[in-house]
Amino acid sequence: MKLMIVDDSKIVQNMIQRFLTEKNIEFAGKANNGKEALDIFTIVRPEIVTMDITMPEMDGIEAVKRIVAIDDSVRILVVSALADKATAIEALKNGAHGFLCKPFDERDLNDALYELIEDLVDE
Amino acid sequence: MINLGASKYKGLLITISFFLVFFILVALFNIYLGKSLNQENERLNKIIEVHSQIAAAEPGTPESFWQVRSNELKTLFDGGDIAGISYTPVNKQIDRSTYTSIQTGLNNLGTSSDFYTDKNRLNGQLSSLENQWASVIESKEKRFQILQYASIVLAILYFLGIVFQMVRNFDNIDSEIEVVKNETENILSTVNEGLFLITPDHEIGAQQSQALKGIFGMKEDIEGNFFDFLNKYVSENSLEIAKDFLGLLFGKRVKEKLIDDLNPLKRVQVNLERRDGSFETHYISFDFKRVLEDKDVQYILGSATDVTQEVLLELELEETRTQSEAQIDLFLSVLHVPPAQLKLFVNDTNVGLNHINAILKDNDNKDYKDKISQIGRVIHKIKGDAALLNLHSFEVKAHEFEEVMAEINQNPSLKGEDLLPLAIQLKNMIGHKDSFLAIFDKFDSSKAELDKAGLKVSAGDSSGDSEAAASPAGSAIQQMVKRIADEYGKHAGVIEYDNTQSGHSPEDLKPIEDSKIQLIRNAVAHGIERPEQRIKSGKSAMGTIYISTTETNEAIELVVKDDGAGIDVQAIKQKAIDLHIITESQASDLDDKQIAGLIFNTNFSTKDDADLNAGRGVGLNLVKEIAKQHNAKIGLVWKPESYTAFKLVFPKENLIEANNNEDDIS
Repeated sequence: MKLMIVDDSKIVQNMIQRFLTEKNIEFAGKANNGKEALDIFTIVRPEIVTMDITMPEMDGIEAVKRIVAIDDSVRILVVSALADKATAIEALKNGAHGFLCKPFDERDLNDALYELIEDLVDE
Repeated sequence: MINLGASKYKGLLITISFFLVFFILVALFNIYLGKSLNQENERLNKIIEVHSQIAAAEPGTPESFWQVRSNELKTLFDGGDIAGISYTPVNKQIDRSTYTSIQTGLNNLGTSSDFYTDKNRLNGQLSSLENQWASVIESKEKRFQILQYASIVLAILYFLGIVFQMVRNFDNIDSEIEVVKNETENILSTVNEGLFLITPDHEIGAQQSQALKGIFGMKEDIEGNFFDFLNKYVSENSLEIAKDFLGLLFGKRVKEKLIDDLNPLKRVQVNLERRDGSFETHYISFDFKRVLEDKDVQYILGSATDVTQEVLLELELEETRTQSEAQIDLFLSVLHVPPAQLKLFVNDTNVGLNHINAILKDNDNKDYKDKISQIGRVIHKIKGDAALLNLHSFEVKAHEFEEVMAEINQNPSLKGEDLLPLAIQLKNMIGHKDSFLAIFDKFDSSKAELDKAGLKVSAGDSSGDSEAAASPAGSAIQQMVKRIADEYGKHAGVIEYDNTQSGHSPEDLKPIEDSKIQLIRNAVAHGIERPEQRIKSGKSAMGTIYISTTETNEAIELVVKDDGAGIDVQAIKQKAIDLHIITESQASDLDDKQIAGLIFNTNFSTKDDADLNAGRGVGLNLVKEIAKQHNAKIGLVWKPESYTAFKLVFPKENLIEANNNEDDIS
């Protein structure tokens, strides 16, 4: 399954890319903000998206809404600092499926990704 | 489709099916019997008809008439059709004798001579056949009736059997339910967590664990809307987030395990009333899980746990950690600030804090804004002083104080109790200052210990002698110095530097060691002043003796320097005159260096010296002797009130040579 990473920090982008070991998922693209995310989404059409909701210039919630409008089956994992619960919940109400809090380590990321798609994967 | 999946209903289903089959069979059987009875009645009717036809016949009736009647009778008994009606053959067991004789009579009647007599006989026979037949029917009817009654009774019995089975089934189910209910009740009454269900309408379910009400200090089960219940304990903001959170759980989209971090009810503060009326703060943690049935969310299972212990422990750990950090901070501060300045700072801070206390306690001054600004000035000064000295922890605490004050000050009109937080802040600062002092005192006394042991450790004071490499007799030297210092009621430490090669034998170096010891003794006895005098002169109470033993290609140099009072030339001059070592006039001719040189004189030792070193040449005199023996040069420099330094240069060749000679002398 294809993964798209949306985060305004290149460090976090690289981190997620490096940490990814879940065998059913492969990295397929990344975006620096919500606007880019939409553009790349329509090209790559990933099945999974990690979305930072503290980005400027079209916040993550807006991006979530629009992606869900294009394809409701996309699994979206909201990534954010724990201090901002209200925004995270807002994103979930608009169609995201789960939440991963920063900072996270390799295991946290892969566990969360697996949880996100466990009902789609035969094991 | 009705779901009849449960196997307990299978038995019931089979029984009812059998009943239906039985019922159908009985019904079919009844129909058959009815039909058969019907037929017999028709047969009887036909016989009666034939009878009446025969009875009405007159003599001269054609043969065919009797033939037809005979055939009709035959058909009636052997089966066949008459006028469109089929008759089945009569049961073999039926008595046919009457029938047979009727047939014979019929055959003869056509040719009968006495027609009426024969006809009457035939009538009689036919009547008896009818009677016979009527009773056959009657008995059939009777059997039929019995069968009917029997089948009804069977049906009723069967029905009762079914009812009984159903009742038994339900009874079993009931007792199963009872057992399950018991077990569930047991679990619910024993479990520590407060378990409850939330319906999609956000109502709290009636079934809950016993512990739930206790956790919230209630006597009755908790009921009603879950959020109304929560409203008492959480802020509006948290309540909104909780509503959203549960909303997400009731939906099916969001992954339960991935939103646990967003649960806003992990630490809800609840104030429980104790028996004595006071209040105790508890912390309750809520956990939520979806209850699924067929992939639909039926309920949310809520679990409330009292986590007060954990929370308090965490807070305590946090507190300890902050304290440790503060203490390290304090310790580092103490290390880098000169003690005098620290003492000054602590004093000033003390004064300031007392002032703040007075301001807060002043009940006459009701101008609270004024109080705050006064206190603010004091804190500002403390903060500034702390910053100057780089006492970070004080700075931080003062800053915290300022922030609390700023928050209170936002209130346009103040009451006395509004300033309560400041009392807490003051208490904090006093506590911090006390901790600081405690560490400082500890440090100071440790410093004294260290100093005594010969290690000079002082804030902001770096002595040039960095390489205090311990010579083989290092600690022995330090112990000796301490001993000697104690003897003379002084404080002295020693710093040694030694770079002599390791190749030398102890005998070779003995003269140096001996000289060293004497010079040390002299330094303590005469060089280093008493502690009080040193302090008066602005020196540290503890004097230091620097000893360096340096090896060059040709010689070994010994330097012993003390930071004492230097050489008091006048005193020596006078003493020498008093001891008749020189005359006054001789004394006036001598320059300072020469006068200083007098201290090496044999007779110049003091009474104390003589006591301690009885039998030998004493002190500096001995040193002079040793130097002479080994052809060593003696140097002496001093600065009044500052230091005295002796230098001996021992040529290496003489040391080895002189060893052999020394044995003679000693």
